[in-house]
Amino acid sequence: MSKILEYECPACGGTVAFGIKQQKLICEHCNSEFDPAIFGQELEAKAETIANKQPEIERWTGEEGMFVYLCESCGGEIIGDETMGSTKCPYCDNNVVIMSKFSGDLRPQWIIPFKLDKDAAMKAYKKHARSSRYTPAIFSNKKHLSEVNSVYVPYWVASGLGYCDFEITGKNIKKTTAGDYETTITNVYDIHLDGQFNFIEVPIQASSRYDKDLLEALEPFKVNEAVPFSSSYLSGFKADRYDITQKKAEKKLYQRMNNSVWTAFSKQVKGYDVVTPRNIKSNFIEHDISYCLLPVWILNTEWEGKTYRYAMNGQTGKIVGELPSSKLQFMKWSLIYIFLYLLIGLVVGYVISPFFGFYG
Amino acid sequence: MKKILVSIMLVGLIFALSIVVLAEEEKTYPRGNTVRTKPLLNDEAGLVDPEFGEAMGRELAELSKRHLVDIAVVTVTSLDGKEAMQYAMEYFNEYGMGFGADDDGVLLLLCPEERDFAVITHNYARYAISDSEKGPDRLMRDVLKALKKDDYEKAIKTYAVTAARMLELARQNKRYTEGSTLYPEQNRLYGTPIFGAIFAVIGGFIKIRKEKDKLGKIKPKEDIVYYIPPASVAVQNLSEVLVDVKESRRKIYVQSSSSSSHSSSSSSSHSSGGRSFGGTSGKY
Repeated sequence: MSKILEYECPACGGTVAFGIKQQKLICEHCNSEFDPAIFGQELEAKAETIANKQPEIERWTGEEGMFVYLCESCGGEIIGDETMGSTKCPYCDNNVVIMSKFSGDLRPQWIIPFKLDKDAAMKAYKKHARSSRYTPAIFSNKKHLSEVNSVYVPYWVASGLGYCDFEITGKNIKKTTAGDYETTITNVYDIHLDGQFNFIEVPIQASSRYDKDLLEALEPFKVNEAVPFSSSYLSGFKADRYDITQKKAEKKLYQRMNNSVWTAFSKQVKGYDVVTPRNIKSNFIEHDISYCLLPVWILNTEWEGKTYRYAMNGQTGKIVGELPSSKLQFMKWSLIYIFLYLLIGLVVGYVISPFFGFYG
Repeated sequence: MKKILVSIMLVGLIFALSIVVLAEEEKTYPRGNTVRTKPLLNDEAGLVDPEFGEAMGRELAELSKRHLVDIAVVTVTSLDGKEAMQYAMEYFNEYGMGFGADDDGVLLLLCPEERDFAVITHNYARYAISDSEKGPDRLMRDVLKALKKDDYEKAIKTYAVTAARMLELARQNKRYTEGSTLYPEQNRLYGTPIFGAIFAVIGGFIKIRKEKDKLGKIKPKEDIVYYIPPASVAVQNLSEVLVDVKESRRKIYVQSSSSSSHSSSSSSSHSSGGRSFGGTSGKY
């Protein structure tokens, strides 16, 4: 049985949502403000009691992985997959959190609340769309966006101590000249190095719904601004629970760690002209991994039959996503640049060419 | 009888003394107004066609008249054991080379027997083709290219044109200085579009690449370097063992000094017959 939490204002019964600017829960009708942690605790406790007396409000649609939930405000059906944790009722726009997705073993340990609102996301998108002259002008029009969603994306965040072991070939090269001959002496060394290192707050995506490369490009998040999880932070935003398990996340972490250790340790091998690692091994000595929700704005748009996805870090404002290149804009601006540099070159050439012996 | 003998002895003594004096005294040449007794192009060695020689002679005369400086060429079969420079200076003095009151002139000497050359400058030509600015080296730069190929006609033509150009620049207060060009206007004509094209290609390419980078193509993040504090990196064990020593030798290409066109002595002044000359000499 799933408990659905609907955020209603205790003062007027209006819809309550998390206000990004205020960093508090705000009633959309009477503007009352509530502390998210306290409000969430009280609401969850109340919902626990009520839910035990309520009939089943979650049922399987018959389609694999899809469920139906009933909105308690209007009775409307809310359909979502098994990872959907927070959404709006499509009929009455009520903010709904499905508690079963965030309770027990599925409960996140902490959350970074959204710091940047929709306006900030739109501005960042506009600036990003205008950053390249090759992108068609229509792209920077906010109305061109087909979808703008604020989503709490599930992540595994790991910190710990790692160990690494290298087998390295080092070379020292010395050249001497005597008469008409140059002699090169190369000393080849076998180097063995092992060491330890800390890794701190490495985020690993815990949901397969979103493009991995897109979300990794949003890093880093400032984990020191995280707060203990409360479902009330989800009110007004979409959220999913994880579908990538901790074990899979650890595998990914291990791969990324192995790709990193040589970069971290290469400067420790000193006094050689050429250094080449032959074998790299790394592993965790100890690590701590926590499950959390991180804020991301997802913006989608379409152009010439292709969907373009953008993501903005809801905490730092970093926006990523590939912009399209219009052939017309590319030709136009490339010719302009070439022409401008031609003009500069002609002026420079006019001034300095008498000093060059082109003509003797 | 005695008086006649004494008179004869005195005359004989005077005669003998005057011969000795004449033999030891160096010839000196008065400044200016000497009459040139050899043509401006004197091809004693027969290096060029007579037709070319005639036409070139007229051209040299025209250039000399225009620039008020004798631009002359002499080719000889032998230097008679003298240095090329010495031979050229003596030739200049002997045959009245030089234009006007100050004998302004430049002379090119060629001796194909030992492949010797010398170019000397006097008075105004020495100013225009200055030794201190490596003027004679610049004058001979393209001439030597033709001489190496035994193209004497081209060499003489190049010498005449280049000498005339250097004299013209000097008259315009733009005397040749080391490293500068003799044809600034032509350099501008050729150089401006060349620089323009280079800037357009390189600058345009760099700018277009930068604009393409702004399209934000996402690269996969495959490492966690950002999350590893450098201060936490600690080496626990490090061992280094020398396993091999490799040695290789190669011959270095050394540029042979004989490939250089000539040895220049243009920095010092040369004198002959009481006159100072500038110039350079060498082998081609």
